[in-house]
Amino acid sequence: MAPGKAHRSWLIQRITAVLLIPLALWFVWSIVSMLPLNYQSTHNWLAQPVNSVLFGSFLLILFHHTWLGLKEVTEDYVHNTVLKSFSLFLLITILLALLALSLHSLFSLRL
Amino acid sequence: MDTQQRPLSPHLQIYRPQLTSVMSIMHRITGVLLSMGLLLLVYCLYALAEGATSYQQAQQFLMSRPGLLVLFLLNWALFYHLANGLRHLFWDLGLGLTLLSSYLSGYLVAISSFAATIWLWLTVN
Repeated sequence: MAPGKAHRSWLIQRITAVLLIPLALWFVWSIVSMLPLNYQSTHNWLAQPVNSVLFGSFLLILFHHTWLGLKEVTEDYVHNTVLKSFSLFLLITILLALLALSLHSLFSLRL
Repeated sequence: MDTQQRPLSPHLQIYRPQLTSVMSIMHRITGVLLSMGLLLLVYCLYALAEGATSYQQAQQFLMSRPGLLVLFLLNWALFYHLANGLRHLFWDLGLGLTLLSSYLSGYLVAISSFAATIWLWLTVN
């Protein structure tokens, strides 16, 4: 990997980490305060614009952080060049598909 | 130049485990666990968007005994990864890098991640 690119990944991993601290705590706190998470209450909560936007941001940042983390682990443990490229390709494909599915689900919620 | 033949640094199993090295590998393990938890989160969100029937199916699984065990483990993994991640961020700022403070913060992260998870689950129930 080019040195500039590695530094950029390092920096983005830290930035997303900092952003995820309040977002993850907000997410856990919201879940706990909504227990036992009935369909209607969860649906209404997530359909509210404030929560929808926060949760959407949480997902985007979380997916980016997950990509950087799993990429680092893959690059460290998969040594074969071809297998490494294939694993990374598979990883980004799965993550992007999951991100698309979750954003689609989020946007399809109506009050 | 054959890049395949370059020497690798020795892997973890070569060294005697220490608090700091065990905590470092646990950061990765909890990170991978949380990635699987993300899969669960996406499934729940999808079930929620699908409607009440599919959502209740997901809810039924998560509130079962194995489901709760998975949630408890993910909850601990999240708190550990969050606290230890904070420890890493302080290190990035050049803070807490001495041997003593890295051990103290290590114990603090290990104990507080367990304590916070158990406290949360006890208050909820």
